[in-house]
Amino acid sequence: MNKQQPDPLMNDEHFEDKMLDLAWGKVENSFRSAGMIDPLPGFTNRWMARLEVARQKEERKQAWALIFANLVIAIGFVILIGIQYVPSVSSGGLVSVLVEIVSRVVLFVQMVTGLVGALLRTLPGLVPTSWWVGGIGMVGLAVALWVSMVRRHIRGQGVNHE
Amino acid sequence: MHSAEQDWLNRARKGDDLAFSNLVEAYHRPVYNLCYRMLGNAGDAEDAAQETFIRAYKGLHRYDSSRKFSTWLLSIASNYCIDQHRRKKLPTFSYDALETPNLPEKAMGMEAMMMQEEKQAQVSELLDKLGQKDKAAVVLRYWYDYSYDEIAESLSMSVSAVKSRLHRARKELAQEWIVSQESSMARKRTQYEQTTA
Repeated sequence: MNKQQPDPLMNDEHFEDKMLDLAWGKVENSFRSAGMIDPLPGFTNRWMARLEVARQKEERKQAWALIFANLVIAIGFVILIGIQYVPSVSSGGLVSVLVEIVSRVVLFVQMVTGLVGALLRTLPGLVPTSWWVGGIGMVGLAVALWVSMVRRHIRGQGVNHE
Repeated sequence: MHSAEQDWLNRARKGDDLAFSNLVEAYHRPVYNLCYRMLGNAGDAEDAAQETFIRAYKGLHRYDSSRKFSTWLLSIASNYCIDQHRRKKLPTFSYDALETPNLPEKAMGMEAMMMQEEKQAQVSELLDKLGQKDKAAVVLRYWYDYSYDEIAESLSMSVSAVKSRLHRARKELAQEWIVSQESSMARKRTQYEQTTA
C-alpha cells in the first residue's frame, strides 16, 4: 500500500526545495512589509450609529415576536373553543354549527338586555337620588382623568394636536 | 491586560456603550486589517469589522477574561469573514475591488504610493489563492505574529491542523510566486523582442 509519509519539514517554515524556499522567503517578506490597512476616519462614530440601528431593529423584532406570540395564543384559544364543535361539524355540517353559534349569541344578548332592563326598572325605587348624582359625577371624573392621560401620552410621543 | 481596558470591559458588561466604544477605538485597526486581508475590498471589510464589534458587544458575557481580548475579537472577525465568504460566495479578487484602502504611509510621494498600491495588490492576489481558513491562519501568523496555539484557539481547530494548513498554504503561495515571476519574465522578454525586432 502506498502510505503517505509525514513531511519532515511540517513544523519548519522552510522547504527542502531551494527554489520553493527562496520563493517563500519573498512571499513572507512581502506579507510582513505590507503593514496594516486602516479604515476611513470616524470608524468608532459609524460603529455607534450602527449599534443604535441594530438596537432599534432588535426592539422591533421583539415587538413583532410579542405580537406573534399573542396571535398564536389567540388562535390557540379559538381552536380550543372550535374543537368543542368538531363532532357536530362532522355530524351536522358547518351551516348547522354556525346557526347554533348565532342562536346562542342572540340568546345571550337577549338575556343580558332583559337583566339590565329589569335592573333599570327597579333601581329608581331602591336607590336614592343623591346616590345617582354621586355615581354620575364619579363616572364623569373618571372619563376626564382618562382623557387627560391619553392627551399626555400622545404629547409624549411628539404628536401635536394644537 | 491594561487596567483601563479591564475597566472599559467591566463598564461595557453593565451596558455602557461609551466604555465599549473605547475598546472599538483601541482595536478597530487590527480588526479592520484582518477583515480587509480576508475579504479583499474596503467596503466588505468595513461592514465585517463593524459587525464584529456589534457581535462582540452583544456576546460580551461569553468573553472569558483569562483570554486576551484582542485574540477573542480577531477570532470573531475571522469566523465572521469565513461565514460571509461562504454565504455570499464573494467573487475572487479583482483589481477594481481595491478601491481606496487607507494605506499605512500617510504622506508618501506619488511613485511610492503607486508602488505601495502595487504591493498591496500583489499581496491580495496571493492571499486570494488560498481557502478562507488557510487565509485566516496565514494572516493571523504573518500580520499578528500569533503562535500556533493562538491560531488554533481563534479558528477552533487543533494545533496540528493549524500546522498542516500553514504548511500547505506556504507551499501554495511559494508555487504561486514562482509562476507569477515566470509569467512576468516571459512578458518582459516578449516586450523586449518586439521592441528590438
